[in-house]
Amino acid sequence: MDQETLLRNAMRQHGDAVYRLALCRLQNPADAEDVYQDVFLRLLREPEQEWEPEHLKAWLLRTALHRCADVGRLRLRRTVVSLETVAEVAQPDQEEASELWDAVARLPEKLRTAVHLYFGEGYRTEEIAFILSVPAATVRTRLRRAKMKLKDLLGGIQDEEQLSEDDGGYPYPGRAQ
Amino acid sequence: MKNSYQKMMEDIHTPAGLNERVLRAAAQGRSTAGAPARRRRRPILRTAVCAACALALVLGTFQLQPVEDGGAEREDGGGPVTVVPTFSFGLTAYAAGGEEAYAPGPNSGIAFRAGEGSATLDGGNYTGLLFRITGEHIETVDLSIDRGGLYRYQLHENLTNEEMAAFREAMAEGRMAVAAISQTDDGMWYMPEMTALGQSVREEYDPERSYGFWLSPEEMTTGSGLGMTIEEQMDIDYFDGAILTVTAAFSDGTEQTRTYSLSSGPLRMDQYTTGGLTLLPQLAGDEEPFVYGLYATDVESSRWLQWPVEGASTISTSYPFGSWDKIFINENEDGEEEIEERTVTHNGIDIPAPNGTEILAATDGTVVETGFDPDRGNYVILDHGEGLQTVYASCQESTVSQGDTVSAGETIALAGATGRATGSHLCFQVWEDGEAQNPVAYFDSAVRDTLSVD
Repeated sequence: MDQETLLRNAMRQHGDAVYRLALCRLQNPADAEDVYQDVFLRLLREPEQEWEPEHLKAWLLRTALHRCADVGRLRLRRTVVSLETVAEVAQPDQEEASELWDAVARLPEKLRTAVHLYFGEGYRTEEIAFILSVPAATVRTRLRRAKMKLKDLLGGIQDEEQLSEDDGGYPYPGRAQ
Repeated sequence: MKNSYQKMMEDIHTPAGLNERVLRAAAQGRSTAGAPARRRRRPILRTAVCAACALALVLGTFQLQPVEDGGAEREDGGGPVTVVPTFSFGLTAYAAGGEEAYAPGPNSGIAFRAGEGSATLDGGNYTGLLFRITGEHIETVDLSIDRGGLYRYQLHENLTNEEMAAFREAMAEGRMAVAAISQTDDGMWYMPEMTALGQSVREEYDPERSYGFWLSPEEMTTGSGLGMTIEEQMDIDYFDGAILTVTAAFSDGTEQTRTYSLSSGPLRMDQYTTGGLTLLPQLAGDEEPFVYGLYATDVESSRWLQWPVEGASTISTSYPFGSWDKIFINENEDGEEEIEERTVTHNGIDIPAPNGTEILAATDGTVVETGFDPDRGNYVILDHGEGLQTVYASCQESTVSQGDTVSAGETIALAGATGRATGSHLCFQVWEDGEAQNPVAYFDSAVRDTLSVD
């Protein structure tokens, strides 16, 4: 398989996954595009081999995360990009999608990456552990903590002006942040 | 693993032109950092809808989707034997804490959707699926459900510090269901009091009081009910097939009883016609946006139809019922893609069936019209009385004539691909009082269970 075919196929099959991960991780479309380009150009510099599709995808996502880490070090303050910017929401009055996106975006980076790979890419915790080079138990802990934080961030979302009492004493299910 | 977050992600794609840039950079052996490519506007309806679903899941709460206030004075037609009650009542689904109410769905269905609820291991699952009883001159109400349970939902507003402290203590000691104490932006504290009632209750009527569906801790299967995944929402499947019976006693001594059959599942969202999100009392197809929820149908006033094609039980999703904005991508003279958005309306469902398959009358009726037009092809229209009509279009030929009386299941036509059709199928429509209705709502769950979408 020549290099251009490899590149075309890789982008067609896994391009969206790489872009989404970079976007979720960096919260900045321009940075995500740079990482995207870098990742696929690096693929061409890899030794020639027969790539298994899942192996290729895992390699791309791993490399993307490494590149994201490089970019992230250059950023002083993390911003949150809105869903409208990246997905061109047709009905901006539907705030719920933006709220979910924002809630995930506000998670700490480690939790966010785990959530994205688990819910967005459908990876099992063992597979995420491989991509992130951490133990599977760590991934599960991150997912648990992420779920709890998401509940907090999304609670009381039906009317975002509302504030809830937050004394932490009782498990208020609809508590706002 | 399919879920809302994943579906949201499915609408985020590599920006147009980026791949080409990478290919150019690869060919030139160097990295080019051009300006980000212009992105096209694309609707992401499904994303937004499913995200709404995710929020509901996270909150673990539901709202009943409601009948409008006019439901209070709904008149029963009343057959010769039925005694028409002096007064009448209806169920109204309410958003928790709110006064928002929705029109009833097709075929008298009421859809319940996420509102404010609570699930704890020792308190059970207060599903947040709420409804009220609406009507005038009601003195007492009697509610019972044959499985699971009910709870009373009453909103307390303008809470003082003392009241809040008392409620918190009650919650901590387990004397009161755990609920959120919340504040409006003008500083008013409020909270719902939720009281489990078991399987039945009889009490004085209070129009401000809501009732909800409740599961005891023993009946809960998934633990919290607060998860992000659909699987964790399936506690409400306990109510699938349950019967809710509501009796209202009026001030003149008369009584009226209504019986509702409950079904759970992924409920179809109608986001096309209204601009907002409306939950429909019907199940969504495999590829359709949905909210996992519960819906009720009034057993007596619903009209049930028989499936109109023998041996074919697939509904085509390529041209679903409803009205929606569709994106058409055309090429102009310069070979560039042009995006056009048009509203498309389909008054029925398409059921693929081989040429010549017998088409059956969905219920007893009279043939009011047979004919041909370029759009519908050969069609048959049956009238079933009380404003209900069914239309069978795209047929090879009709085998009945105007004025014929037909009974349910009788062959009235043969399937074909006449009119504007791309393959042999039946286009089946249900009209009530001159309005096209979603035909799926007119088949009971026994029929719906046999259907698939493609």
